[in-house]
Amino acid sequence: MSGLTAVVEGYVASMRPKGEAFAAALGDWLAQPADDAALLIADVHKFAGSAGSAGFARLSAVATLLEIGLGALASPADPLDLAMLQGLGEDFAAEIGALAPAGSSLIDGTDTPPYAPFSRPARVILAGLPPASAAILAHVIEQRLGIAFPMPDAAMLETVPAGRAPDLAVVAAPVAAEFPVVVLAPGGLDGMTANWPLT
Amino acid sequence: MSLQRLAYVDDDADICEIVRFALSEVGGIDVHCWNDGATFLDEAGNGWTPQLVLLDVNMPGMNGWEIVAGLRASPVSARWPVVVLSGCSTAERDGAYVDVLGCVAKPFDPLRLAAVLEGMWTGYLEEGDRK
Repeated sequence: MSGLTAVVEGYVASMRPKGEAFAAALGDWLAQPADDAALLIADVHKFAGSAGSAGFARLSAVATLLEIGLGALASPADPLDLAMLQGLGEDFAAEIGALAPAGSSLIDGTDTPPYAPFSRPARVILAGLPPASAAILAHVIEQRLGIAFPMPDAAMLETVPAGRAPDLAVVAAPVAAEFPVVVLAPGGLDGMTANWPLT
Repeated sequence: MSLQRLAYVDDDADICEIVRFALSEVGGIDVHCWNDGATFLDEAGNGWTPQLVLLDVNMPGMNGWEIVAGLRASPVSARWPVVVLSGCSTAERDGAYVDVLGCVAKPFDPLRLAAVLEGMWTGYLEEGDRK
């Protein structure tokens, strides 16, 4: 369909410089997050909506995570949140760098979802993570794994009733995590929680 | 009666082009696009009346809900049916689904958008017939 090809080509030509400008602005902002991120959020919201409609599901997914993370960022920002957003910014820049009409699912005819759902919804607790990281991971988990239970205070782990252990616990570690690695150290867990699987 | 005339308001020119393709070329619908709500409200109904209005929600200046309020305040456009094209979960959570036919989520499939809107339009007409 030549009209569709022309639309996607036009989208790519328009989006590439906008995406590069956004990635640079995001990098500058993350280096010194003094102001609120409202302008960045407004920009990335557009990428999230338009990229998926143009057949670029991965770019849309990364933009969605950036929008969620920037919107949930506390002030002052937690270093872990900034590191996660930095990693997403690099993913976004890579997607923009690779943006080409042939990569659109509207052109190549494939419908590749950004996430592959698991057969059974998992229960995942996110404990002690700063707000942007928790929001980003909760979105990813609910897209591809199951149900996320953010617990800002890791001490809440002890309130989980016996017999209701999650399938996975993501517990904050005092190191910068690289998205989408959901890791974590078991330090501080004991008793009932000691047998929970950790990744 | 099929859907033939649609007004679309979105500040993002890139997605306007995708919607224009999806509705005009795929769906054969006469689409008029506006990039801001104030201009749309000024011009809407002047010589061209849409059967359906499709609105983005998050826009600078006047957002989608404010445009709906503007439409309802005018006797010309008070009864125009409206569909929003946005993050539907956010709209639902905010309880904002007052006075609109429904929501189409972004991202959308441009090859199916016309059919989805046609279905909403048909439902709207059937609902009117029952009243």
